[in-house]
Amino acid sequence: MKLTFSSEKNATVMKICGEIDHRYAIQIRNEADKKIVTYPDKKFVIDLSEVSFMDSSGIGVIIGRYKLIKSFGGEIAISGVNSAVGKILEMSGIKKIIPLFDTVEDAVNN
Amino acid sequence: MNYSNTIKTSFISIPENESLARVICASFISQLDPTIEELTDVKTAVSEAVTNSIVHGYSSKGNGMIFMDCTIENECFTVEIKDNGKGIEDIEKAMEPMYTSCPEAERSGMGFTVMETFMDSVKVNSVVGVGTKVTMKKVIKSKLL
Ligand SMILES: Nc1ncnc2c1ncn2[C@@H]1O[C@H](COP(=O)(O)OP(=O)(O)OP(=O)(O)O)[C@@H](O)[C@H]1O
Ligand SMILES: [Mg+2]
Repeated sequence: MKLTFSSEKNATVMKICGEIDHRYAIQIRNEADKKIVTYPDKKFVIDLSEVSFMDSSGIGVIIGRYKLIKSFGGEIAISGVNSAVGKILEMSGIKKIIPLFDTVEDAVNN
Repeated sequence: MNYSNTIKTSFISIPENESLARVICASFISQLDPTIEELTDVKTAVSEAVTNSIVHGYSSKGNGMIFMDCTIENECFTVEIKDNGKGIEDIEKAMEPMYTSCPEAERSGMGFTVMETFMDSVKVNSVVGVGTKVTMKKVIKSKLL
């Protein structure tokens, strides 16, 4: 698993590459939260386009970031849902609370 | 054509072995030529059960053994994941969607729901203080047999 952060005009983009399981969820949480509290006014975009595997630990980490960001009135979005994560995102109900976009650009601009 | 195969594995309860368990099962069923979706389903369900043994069964202490046995009987894949950990008091409650005994660790309580959604059947046996065994089955609609 590899994390890369980039800063767009009004958003912080966290791109996750590789597998999201219990082993990596803690690392994703810690690094994401550092960015979220440093740039609380920016939208937080989670780019899943390069994720090859995700289990319920991934659901936990995404919902955890959603709650943190909501707690100070911020915005969160997900981009790049592929076949490796589509089914689990669907069944988790995340689609009902976090907007999903095809590309990072769409997620940043909408 | 009649076909059967069995493997028995055991490994210690550290998070590094979650991906190992997924890869073992994926390789094992690859002989049935599964679809990408079937592979993902099996990997996800196995990941849930193994993670539960590590996190809940052995309370993330990393000092227990996990036993994972896989069988193929024609097109039916069975995986049994067993720990000698703390066990589950109320299995019915544990299997409810969104129930988790450790929300503070950001667990979503979706593990058993994922297993039930992604496999054809899930059976849980557990005795407090003795351990937990999860048995899951899935028919792989193989083109090979
Ligand atoms: N092997 C096990 N040993 C002991 N308790 C277990 C075991 N597996 C599951 N449990 C109990 O069942 C509950 C529900 O498990 P489930 O996998 O559905 O959710 P979770 O692990 O809490 O969260 P998530 O899987 O979404 O990260 C757990 O919180 C735990 O209390
Ligand atoms: Mg679980």
